[in-house]
Amino acid sequence: MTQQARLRLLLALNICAVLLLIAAGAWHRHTSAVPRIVPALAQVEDPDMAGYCRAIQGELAAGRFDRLEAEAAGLVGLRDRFHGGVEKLVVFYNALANPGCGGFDCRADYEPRLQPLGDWLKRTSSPPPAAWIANAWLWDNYAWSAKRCAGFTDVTFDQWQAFYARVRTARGYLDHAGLRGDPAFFLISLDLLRDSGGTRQQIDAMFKQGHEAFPRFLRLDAEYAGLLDPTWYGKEGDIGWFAETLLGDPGGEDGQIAYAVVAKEGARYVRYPHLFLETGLTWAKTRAGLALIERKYGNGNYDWNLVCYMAMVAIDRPAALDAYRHFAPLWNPSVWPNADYFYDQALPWITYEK
Amino acid sequence: MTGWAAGWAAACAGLLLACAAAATDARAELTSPVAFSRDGVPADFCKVVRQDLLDGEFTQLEATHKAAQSLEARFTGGQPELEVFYDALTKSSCTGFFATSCSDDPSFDSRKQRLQEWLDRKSDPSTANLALARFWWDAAWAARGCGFANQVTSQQWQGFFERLKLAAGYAHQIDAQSDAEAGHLLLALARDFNLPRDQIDAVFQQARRRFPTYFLTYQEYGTITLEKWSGRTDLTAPYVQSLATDPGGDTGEVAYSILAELLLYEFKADRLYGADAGFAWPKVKQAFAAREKLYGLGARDWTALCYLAYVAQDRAAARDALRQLDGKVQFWPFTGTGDFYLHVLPWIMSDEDAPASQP
Repeated sequence: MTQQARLRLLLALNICAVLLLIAAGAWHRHTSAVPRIVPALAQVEDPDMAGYCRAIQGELAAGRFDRLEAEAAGLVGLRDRFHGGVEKLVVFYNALANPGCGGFDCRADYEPRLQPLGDWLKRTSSPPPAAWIANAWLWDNYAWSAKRCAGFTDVTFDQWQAFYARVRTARGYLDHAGLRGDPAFFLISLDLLRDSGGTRQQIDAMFKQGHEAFPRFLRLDAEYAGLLDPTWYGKEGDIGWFAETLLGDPGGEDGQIAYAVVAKEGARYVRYPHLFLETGLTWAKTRAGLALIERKYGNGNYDWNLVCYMAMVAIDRPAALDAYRHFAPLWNPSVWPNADYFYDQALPWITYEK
Repeated sequence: MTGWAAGWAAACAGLLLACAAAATDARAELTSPVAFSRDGVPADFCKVVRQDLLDGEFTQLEATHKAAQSLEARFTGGQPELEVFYDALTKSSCTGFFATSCSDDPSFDSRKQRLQEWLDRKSDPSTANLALARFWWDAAWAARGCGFANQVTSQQWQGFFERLKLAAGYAHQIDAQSDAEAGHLLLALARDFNLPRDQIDAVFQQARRRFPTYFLTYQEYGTITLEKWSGRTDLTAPYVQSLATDPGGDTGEVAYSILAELLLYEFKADRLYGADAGFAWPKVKQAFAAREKLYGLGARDWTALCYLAYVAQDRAAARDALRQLDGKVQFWPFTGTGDFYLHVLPWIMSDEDAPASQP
């Protein structure tokens, strides 16, 4: 069977699966006794990550910059990780650069964060790398918040002006020497290249430098994979190509894990049901990496939800059901589009028994 | 072009020139009875006129036409009501960006029937004949389809020329001196019948002498000068540059800007300001300023100016155009809006001299 024929067959199978989902959903609405809930953020957030995030935010609020500096210095080796293999360093900077603990929030007010982090820079004539990086990260988030959740074509001229002025400020913070020993430098540099009109060559070069310095930095792999979305810098098949390179570098189990992390990132933007059809990613390789992540780092609610979704896309009902049992009944709104989709379409297929 | 069509084209040449030379003057004095906001889009006006046609409101149509005939009523950007009036009667859609004739045309038969009824009433035969000539010219292009010339089938070509023949038949009855659209239509027909260059030029010269502010005529001639029509690369630049003196003045400036807005799609960025197209950025900038002063500029015009400034690497002008658009770019020539937001916008908004934002 040719590759094209195989893709067509897979697409046909997916379409059948969708039809089955719809039919099952209709049946389910009449027969199901599963109570519908909409989980609160506190129910689905990772307690370890959230607790750590709030502790760091407390340190910042109290102005304990020495502790923050020491914490950052201890995290740059990337040995400390949370569920899903998430680097503690990433949670550290996200805690400093966002008002909440759920990552960037376009509705949030970022202005109150500017002074506390700015104070960190003013303490000494030679601020630590973490202070520069945290401020750059915050100002990039502050730039995005200028758009007030608007789509690109709805952003006003004044909002664009504010956006680019803030991006320039963020870039200015990264101009200081001695920051490349912190893996987060490469992460925020990638984002700022994207936000200031960088070219694909510049993006590739920055990732390459970061990857060579920190080959097991999973968030950097995920960030680069996000930039390979065709609506940003990529073209069809780039994400699969990139994931394959990780199997060779860093290779081994680390490479398999990185492959799965890239697939998880792809699952966030590749439209259903194309994740394993036109991207070059395979479910078999993804599944192997996911199993390693679970074994080494464990999975949180978000991870299990995402694994379940990916298994559903791959039409692997046993894997989807296994993942579902780990998070039931707390479906995660950041993975599934809405309650109706989850209860009426996904869940009936996942739990279907002949 | 097939042999029989070429022969037919030659036979039509005299007819077209005769039409162009006909002289009557029927200036209208009525104000437009159509209620719509000229700050709005021409599509609103187009839809009202089209509905009048479909409803058989011929008296209303004639009043609207007479009000538009003076070319004083214009939309933002300078497009005259008269141009949109004929678009409304003859094109398949009121909302197409470039008003192409390639989309489905569900009201084709109804419009054809109503236009014939209008002619049969004999209340304004000159305008009704022009509308029917324009209708069959648009229909000819619809029959041809939107493919490249080498993709058009012999049946499509046959349909094209049969409808052109119908258009020419009605064109025989029109008055090129009283209605600006007549000159434009005759020029388009001259091109489509492949008339000799000097005859095409003669039709154009007569049309622009009689109605120098009917800018559609300049656009039509601009396309005729392109290599894909004329087979020559030495016609566009001299024509573009001639507008500074003929018609010259504000009218020449407006014509120059409108032509830049049209031809930017025909030349890649590195050729737009070169010898091929003949545009010069300082003149483009000046021309748009003059046009803005006279007629204002719409979103489409500001976007074109933003693109033209970007190609010229005039950051301040590009930013000013973007400010006029309030940051909202709905289309971007050649590379699309994705490329605009990813690469062009950062360039426009970057400024080495501007201070970075501070807390």
